[in-house]
Amino acid sequence: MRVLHVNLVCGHGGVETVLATLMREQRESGMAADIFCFIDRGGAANYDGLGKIWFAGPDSLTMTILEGKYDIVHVVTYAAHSTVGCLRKSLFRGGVVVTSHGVGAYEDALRSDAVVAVSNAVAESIQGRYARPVRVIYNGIDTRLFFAAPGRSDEKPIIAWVGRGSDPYKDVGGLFALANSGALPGFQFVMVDGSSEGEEPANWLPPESSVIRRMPWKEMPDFYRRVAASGGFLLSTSRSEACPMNMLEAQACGCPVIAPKIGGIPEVVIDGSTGRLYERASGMSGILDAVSWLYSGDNYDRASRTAADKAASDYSAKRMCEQYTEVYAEALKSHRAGALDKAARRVLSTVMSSVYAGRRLVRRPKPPARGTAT
Amino acid sequence: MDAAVASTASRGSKDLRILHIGTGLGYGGVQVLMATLIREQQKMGLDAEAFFFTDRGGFDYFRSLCPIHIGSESSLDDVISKGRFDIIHTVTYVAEELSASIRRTGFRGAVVVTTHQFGEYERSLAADCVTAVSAAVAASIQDRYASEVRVVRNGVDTSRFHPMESGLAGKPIIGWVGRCADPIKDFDGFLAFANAMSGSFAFEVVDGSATDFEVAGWLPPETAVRRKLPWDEMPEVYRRLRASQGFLLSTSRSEAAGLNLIEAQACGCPVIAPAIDGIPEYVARGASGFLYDRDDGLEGIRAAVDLLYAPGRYEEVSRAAAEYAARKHPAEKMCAEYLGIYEEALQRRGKHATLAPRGSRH
Repeated sequence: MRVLHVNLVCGHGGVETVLATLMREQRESGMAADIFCFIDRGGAANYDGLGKIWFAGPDSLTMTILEGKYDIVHVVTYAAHSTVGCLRKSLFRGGVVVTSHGVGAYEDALRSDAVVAVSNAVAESIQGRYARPVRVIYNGIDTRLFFAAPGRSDEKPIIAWVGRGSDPYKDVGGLFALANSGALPGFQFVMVDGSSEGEEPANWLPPESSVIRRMPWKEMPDFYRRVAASGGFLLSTSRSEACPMNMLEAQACGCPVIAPKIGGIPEVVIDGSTGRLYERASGMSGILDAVSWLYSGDNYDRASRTAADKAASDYSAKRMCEQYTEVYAEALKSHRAGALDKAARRVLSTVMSSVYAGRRLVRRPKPPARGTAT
Repeated sequence: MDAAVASTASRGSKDLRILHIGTGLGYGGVQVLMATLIREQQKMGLDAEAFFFTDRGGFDYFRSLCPIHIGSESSLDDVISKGRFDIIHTVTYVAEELSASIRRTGFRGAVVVTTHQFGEYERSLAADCVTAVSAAVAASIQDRYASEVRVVRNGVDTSRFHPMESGLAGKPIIGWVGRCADPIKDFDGFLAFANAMSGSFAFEVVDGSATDFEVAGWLPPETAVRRKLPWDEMPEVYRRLRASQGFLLSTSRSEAAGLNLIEAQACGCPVIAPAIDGIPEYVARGASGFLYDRDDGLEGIRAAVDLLYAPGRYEEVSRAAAEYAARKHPAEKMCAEYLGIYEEALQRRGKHATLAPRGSRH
């Protein structure tokens, strides 16, 4: 089976991480998976060694679909609007699966054979706009990379904040408020900022804190293990979350999570078990209460163990890949027409190639080849 | 001379009619500035109306001031056709819509465009004159406009924004005024600073965000958060900061002019702001307030705070702030400068009308 994933942005966010994780798993299960992104924000390394990566501009989604002989086009809902016309122009006859990665995020204009949400909270927020049941497939993590390691370090406990500081939904202001309040003097603050270059927020952290910009994904397991070894935790201050990869990955490494009780978070962070949830409206006092709980008795050690166990058992990439494979099979089975025959595709491909080549000649010189094949 | 020109010339300056155009009627500095300018123009005998494409609840700025047209209720074409305006004075963000309206209505008056934001200029609108609210903004757009971009700095209504002597017990209050939801204003910086200094100061946030950005949970307990405060209550806010011996803090990443900085200074409230874009043109550095380097983060703000609260310094800075705002940035000055721009714009259209209203210019 050949799958083309379509995403809006190729940066350093959770969606990119989950797509790379899924593609890696699909590749290992014998599928061929490539990815097309409309906007390049420097995150191509996420997909190193996983398949081909195409970008709008040098490449066209229509041509990629036409030439790639894909059975399934799997679209992130944020890219749906831009994908509609390309599917139409390429006369794509395979299955179209859309995954919604955000609460309330769904594009009605895209014809799809199946709609998937990454949490129940997301499914409920979009179900009213889709005729058939929205299926829930939680994001998965690569448990070969993200796992807990025993032992404690001498490092001051780390309060880690991981996300795009430039994204208002992540509300990094909450981290700045807490870090500067002096309410938690026994901790150090580390911000792992995935903001694209040029969009980074100012560093309003106190001097003894640190900021790591665009940490490569492959370094994240060691970072979470470092946090866990220090006796620290992952802090979220988000306004909205669907199925946060950072929380799944942190927990898999034995790192407890303190996060607001919003969106899909309560589905992946079990309050009083793998971490502690707080009411967002209570702000800092909510976080301080949660910290107080985490460091009472043996709560920390139990939360650390439970978090790692639960992540490994419930959120593996293998499980996610199997569930998507089922959805692909259903999408193909329920599909109303067969694939465009070889001759028709060749004719259409030739026509569209001429169209795009003509446009390139008129509009701009052909851009230099980018790292499209990996 | 075409009919419109003849009409303007024969009617004379007292009948000069100006249509101000903005994007959204909300709670921002641009709306405040437009209201201030219109008020001043009316004092000078000019006739002004305003058109906004969307209503975001900021009607109070213009209540009892002038006719207001909203895009959802009136078409811009109708307003232009029926209003017999001599000047259209617009912000830069509406170029496409306005160009189409001017084409459709055959408007023959002059068009003046004012840029309120760093780097923002839409060249598709055929303007007779382009102005910027600071030299920094003018420099950022000059390459997109063939003639010289004129600088007309924002002005403050000193009949409303002026100091009043009154003492206020308690901790000095640090104020932050703007839209918390606007990333350009970088409210995160205020959150960081307020939490770092909560023992020594109280805080007051005036949030003009369209919807509640839910910031209260991250602020120290002794913080007042006021949302969408009517503009005519702002002098009291700045006087309260002044009376408490506090100051206005800006944490903006980019600021064309910073009208709130001028209004605060006019009320004798010192300001601490980043040395970026147009801000240095609106603060007498080290006299009416202090500027910091944004790259220095909280340390930069702390250093400025130390300067402000050096022994005997606060009262000196407060007096200098009020004097500076009244002398350098009064609304009358802004209004007179725009009048000169209107005159120039009409001359470019082949009109030689004298625009000075009777009795207002000598």
